[in-house]
Order: sequence, then structure tokens, then C-alpha cells
Amino acid sequence: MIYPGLAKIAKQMAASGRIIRGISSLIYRKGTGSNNNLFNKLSASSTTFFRNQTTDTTPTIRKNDAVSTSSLMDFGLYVAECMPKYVQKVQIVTGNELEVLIAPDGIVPVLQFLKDHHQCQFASLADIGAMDVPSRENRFEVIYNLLSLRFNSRIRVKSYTDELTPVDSSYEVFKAADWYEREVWDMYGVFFANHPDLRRILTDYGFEGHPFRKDFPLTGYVEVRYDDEAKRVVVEPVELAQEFRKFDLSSPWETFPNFRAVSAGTEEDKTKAT
Amino acid sequence: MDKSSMTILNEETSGGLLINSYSRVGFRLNNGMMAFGPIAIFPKSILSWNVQSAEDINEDSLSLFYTLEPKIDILVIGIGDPDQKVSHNIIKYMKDKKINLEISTTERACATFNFLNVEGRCVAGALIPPTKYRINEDDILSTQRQNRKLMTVDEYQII
Repeated sequence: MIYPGLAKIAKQMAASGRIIRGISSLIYRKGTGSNNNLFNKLSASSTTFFRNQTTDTTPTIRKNDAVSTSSLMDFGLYVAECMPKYVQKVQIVTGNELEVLIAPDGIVPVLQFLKDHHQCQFASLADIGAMDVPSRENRFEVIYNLLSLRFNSRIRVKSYTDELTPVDSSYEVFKAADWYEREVWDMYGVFFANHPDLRRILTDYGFEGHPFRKDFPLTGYVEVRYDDEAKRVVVEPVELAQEFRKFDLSSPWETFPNFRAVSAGTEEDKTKAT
Repeated sequence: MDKSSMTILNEETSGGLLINSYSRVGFRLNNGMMAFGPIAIFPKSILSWNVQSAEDINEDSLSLFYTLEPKIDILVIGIGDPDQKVSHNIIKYMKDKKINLEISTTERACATFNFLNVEGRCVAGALIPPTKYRINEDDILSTQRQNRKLMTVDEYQII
């Protein structure tokens, strides 16, 4: 085949049934410019024919086709095979996002692998975030989002730690990790070992506490105001004039009756027992 | 038509003391003064601080900062070199006295003190001169200009 890329695209389109629509639109476009009546008749009839035939009830929601999802899962399993010591689980969430769950000792090796390996080339660190789940023993989950420009794909690397255990800094792998790790330190209190300059980045200079933790209240502990007598800004414990109202955002009436059957879960593939 | 204007904050001495530069021996302030050795610097005044190194920073050596009125909000501590160790119980000790600490290397502590002072916050600095730091061409030239030695050629380099 001279154009293997085209064959692949055609295969994918056939798999999702889009090729029929593609041909009909192609014919239609040719038909409007030409004076070939036969083409015009064909195009008019074909488009109306297929418009009545469509069973697509949610055209505005992107469909995840099974081919790309399975190739993504294959790639995730490949990564797991290449780094068996650290990778604990591979999963696909929300249809098309690949996640690799690793042990905290393996953060720098796995990120280095994903950046340098020829079949991965995730050279861009999009974000580092964290998540606090207080019920777990290792309450913080550190999340690295990587982007591959060469292959136009994203991957998420997740690891875990608790309040006291430091995590290796990925500054040598990605320079962009500098400020992201400072933000995670400031907001959650996750210490990054070997970071060149780990200090607060978003909170005020004398601020105590790590605001994104689940046990840190929404309004905080202190409030600042300008005291006219002392002619300076004073820091005082927070006082709310009204009792804090917590809204229960789930309503007693069902809001999405069309989505009763759809589950928002993840498609998992356990490489090892976790 | 409004013209754009620029003011260099360090050249305004009325707003408060700012640190212009630092070296192995001391600090040069924006009012022309030069202070040798570790300093305790306040919004409008400066004192010499009696510590040998970062290990000597303890409750006694920091006692000056919490006995003053008006009470300062933030104490910026410059520990000198990045590898100096500071005892961690001073953080808790100062928190009991309601003073927040910002502990970092002296290079960063000078900058932090400068812009906190310019903002008008009640800040004090406890700074120890660093022994190791990076210099670039601009630093060498401005030092020579300070010492009025721009036109002379020394046989040995200024380090």
C-alpha cells in the first residue's frame, strides 16, 4: 500500500461507521460545483437517506472509538512491561485518558523513561498536582501530566506519599517541575527531596498551614485587616458574621435521566495485584 | 499626554531601609551606609547582630526581635550559605511569640526583606553574610565603580 496512513485512517473510520457519511459528503461537494445532474440527484438522495437513518442521540459528545482506546491500553501495558519494578497499575479513565500508577521510589526513573524512550517521547510536563484523601494511609497522591508532541498523546503518572515521607524531585528530568513542585509543597506539604529551591510560592510570607489539605477549612484560620489605630495590617483569627452555610449540592430530583445506564468508571487492567 | 516615569526604589531613602548589595563581609544599604558582619535590620534602623554562624541562631540571639514594639509580623532570616543548618525549634519558638519566620539563604532573604519593606509591612531581617555566592560581570563592574577603580587594571582579580 502506497499510503499506509490512509489505510489506517480508513480502517478506523470504517470501524466507527463514519466512512459512509464521509463518502456522501464528498459526493455532495462535487455535485454542487458540477453540472452533472446524475451526481446531484445521487447526492441529494444519499444525504436525505442517511440523515433519516442516523441513530446518534448525542451528537455533541465525542465518541471514543474502541481502536484508539485499545491501542492506548496496549501502550500502557508496554510501559508496564518496560518498567515492571515500579509500575503497579495501568488504567484508562473517562474513555481516553491513560494513567500509570507507580511506587514513589520510581518517580524519577519512570519520568525519565517516558521522556527519553523513543516510542514514548513525552517531552513536555504539562502539570504536577496532588490529591488529598485523608482516609488513606498515604494520604497524598502526586499526579504528573505529560504530553508527547511527537505522538500527540497524553499520559498521567500517579504516585502516593504521606505527610512526612519526602518524594524525589523531578527537576533533573523536567525543568518545569520547579514551580509545580513548589506549588504542591505550598498547598499540600509534600516535601520534594533534591529540589533546588523548595519554598512557598502562592501563600503569604508568614502563612501557616497547607491550604489544599482536606482538613484545612475553606475560610482558613486567620483574616487580615487594616487597623487604623496601629496603622498597619493586622492578622487576626477569622470571624464569620454569619454561620458558614454548607450547601448539599445533590438534589432530590434526578437531573440526567438519559444517563442512568452510563457508568463513569474506569477501564482497568491490573498488571500486578496491588 | 502623560509621560511614563520610572523611579528606582532603592534610591528613595525616605521609604525605609533597603539592601543594595551584599558581600562576604557585610551589606551595603540604600542610604549609603555599609554594615559589616551579620545584621539585624528593621524598617528604618539597623543593628549589628552578634552571631558567629547560622548554628548560633537560637532563642537568645533572636530575643531582640520579639521584645521590640511595635511587634513585627515577619522575621526574614538569612542563614548565609545554602548548606548551613538551622535548628528547627526556633520556628516553633517564634510562632509562640506570634512572629512568622521566613528562613532562606541570605541572597534570597535580602530580596524578600526589600520588597516586604517597600510594601510597608512590619518586617525585620536577621542576615548573615554568605561566604559562597555567584558573581557575574555586572557585579564586578559595579563593585569597581563603587570603589572608583573602573579605570585601573588590577593584576589580581576581585573575588
